[in-house]
Amino acid sequence: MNSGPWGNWNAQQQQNPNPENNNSGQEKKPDNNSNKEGFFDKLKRKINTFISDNFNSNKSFKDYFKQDNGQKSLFGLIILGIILLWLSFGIYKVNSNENAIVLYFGKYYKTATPGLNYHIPFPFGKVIKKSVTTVNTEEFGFMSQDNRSNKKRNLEAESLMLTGDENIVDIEFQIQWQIADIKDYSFNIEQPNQTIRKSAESAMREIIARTPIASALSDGKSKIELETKVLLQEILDSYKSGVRVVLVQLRRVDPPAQVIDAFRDVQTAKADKEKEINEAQAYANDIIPRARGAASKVKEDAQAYAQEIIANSEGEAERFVAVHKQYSKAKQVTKKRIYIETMEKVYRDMDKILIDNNTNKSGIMTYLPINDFKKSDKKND
Amino acid sequence: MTKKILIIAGIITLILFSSIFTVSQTQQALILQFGEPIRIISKPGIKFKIPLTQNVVFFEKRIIDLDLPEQEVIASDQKRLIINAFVKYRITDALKFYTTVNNNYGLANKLSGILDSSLRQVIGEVNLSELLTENRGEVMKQIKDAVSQSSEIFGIKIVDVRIMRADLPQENSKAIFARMQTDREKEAREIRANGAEIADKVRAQADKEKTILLAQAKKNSDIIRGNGEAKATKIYGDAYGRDPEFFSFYRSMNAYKESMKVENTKVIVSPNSEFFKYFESSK
Repeated sequence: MNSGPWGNWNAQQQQNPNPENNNSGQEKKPDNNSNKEGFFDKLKRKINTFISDNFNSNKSFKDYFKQDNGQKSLFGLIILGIILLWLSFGIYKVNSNENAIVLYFGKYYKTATPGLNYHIPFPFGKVIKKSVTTVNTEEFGFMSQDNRSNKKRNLEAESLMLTGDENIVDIEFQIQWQIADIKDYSFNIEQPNQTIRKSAESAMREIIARTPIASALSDGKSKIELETKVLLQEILDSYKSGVRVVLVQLRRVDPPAQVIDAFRDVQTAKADKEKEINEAQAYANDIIPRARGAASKVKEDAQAYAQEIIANSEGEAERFVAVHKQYSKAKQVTKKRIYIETMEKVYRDMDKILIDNNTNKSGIMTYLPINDFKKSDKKND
Repeated sequence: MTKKILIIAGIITLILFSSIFTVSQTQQALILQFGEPIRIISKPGIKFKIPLTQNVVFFEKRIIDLDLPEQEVIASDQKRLIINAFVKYRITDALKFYTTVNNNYGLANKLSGILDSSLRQVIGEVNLSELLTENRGEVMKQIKDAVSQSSEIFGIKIVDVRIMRADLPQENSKAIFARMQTDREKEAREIRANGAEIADKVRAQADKEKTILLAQAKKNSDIIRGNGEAKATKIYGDAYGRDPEFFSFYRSMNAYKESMKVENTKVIVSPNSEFFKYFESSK
């Protein structure tokens, strides 16, 4: 019956006691699904069965004695088996991410490192295992999704802090910590989590209380984180808490909601300022090259003008000199010729009215119809 | 017979068990005999006592946390503060502790009173601004010393007193918010005005440069023109100076041609002029 899947030594020890008792229903249950059970679960169940089998019914116990009078050595074997079984409970495993402390009669005995270890089992000894690699996170001023189920905290009171220049900032931060010394952690502080939380908040507030708001809002963040981490570690060390602060991180530093618009407006104002200056710069960049262009045009025009009039003067002068040269050869005739040629040209296309100066003397009144001139002007237009 | 032995054995075991107790690493204990403390056990482990007449009271050996609820405290500059503090203490003398306050609740009652008054006393002597500097640690140390002194009689050691929150009351917070707001408005205005100032400067500078450029150009242009004209004048002068009489005539002739080009010019002339010298007779 016991040749089931647990063919280990303690199961074999169990095989010997009165087989008729082993046939009780209790024994059968674990047999069916024993494959899925852990070693210790099996062991426990086995013991329970064993104890109930042997002590529940005094009668069968006595009967056993009476019946197997000559087998006292067998009984001794059973006792030995029980003792061995009990001793086997002292084996415990510390996982690679854990440390364990061993207590005997409540007194600290040693700290056990990962691996298979042994201690004298209950009721004398006790093992407390704790993960020392797990990074625990405490959140302040906010609750991340996974922690939302926790009890409600007054987030606003938690996140509003007074700064060094008597302003108020709205801060969300988180800290991460690990157990550095499992002994200190277990024996020195009564409520580690609460102690860490309170110390962290106190440290952060102390640091913020000496930081001006402008620095907290802009470039002072990493300094705040660092100082808080150092201070928090100091506080926790002073309690010998066995806790190592891994990280202090500011998640969000904002002005309080009541005044955030004003703070944003300052940012907007800064942008506005840049914009204004850029526009002016654009204006300058636009008009100055144009002015340079215009200036250069003025200069070129002037040079062109100068060149032009000089050229003109030279040309005219040459022309005059040439004409004058010929003129000096036959002054009278040339002058006359030029005069007549000029007048011919001048009068050619003109409306001319010839009036003899002497007509006045002849008694005829000269009438000059200026209006007609004008009319003919219009016609010609 | 065996029954009797069994009963006696049972009783002995019972007595033995009731005389054995363990003190955990996190605990200390006090043994009372008829209610009178007779022995302090500060080391953990398995311990014995006389059954029936003695009983054991356990005390915490770790650092214990005590919260002080929010208190309104007035700083020496009459600014009101809401202070929230906590104390970390350790029971060092279980006997004293037991006789004076009996248990943690009893202590909490007395200690909050002491902490409260120490807070008021120490903070009442400093300005709020001092709490907002690195002196805060110093202030906390003073509070700790004050609390330590007054709580010595309870058999405890004050490990730490820390101010957790030091906030201004609601009304003051409002005032601060208002001030922060106006501060920022001031800043924003200044920034904008500053922007306008710089922009105007840039514009004015540009305008100035433009004007100067153009004026400079005009000046140069006038100089160039003047030089050109001077040169032209000299050339004219040199040429025409050879015969002013003829120049006058020649130039006039040219001028007539140029100025009376237009077709519709009307002229009233006398046949007596030189041009018409031969108009009426050939003499």
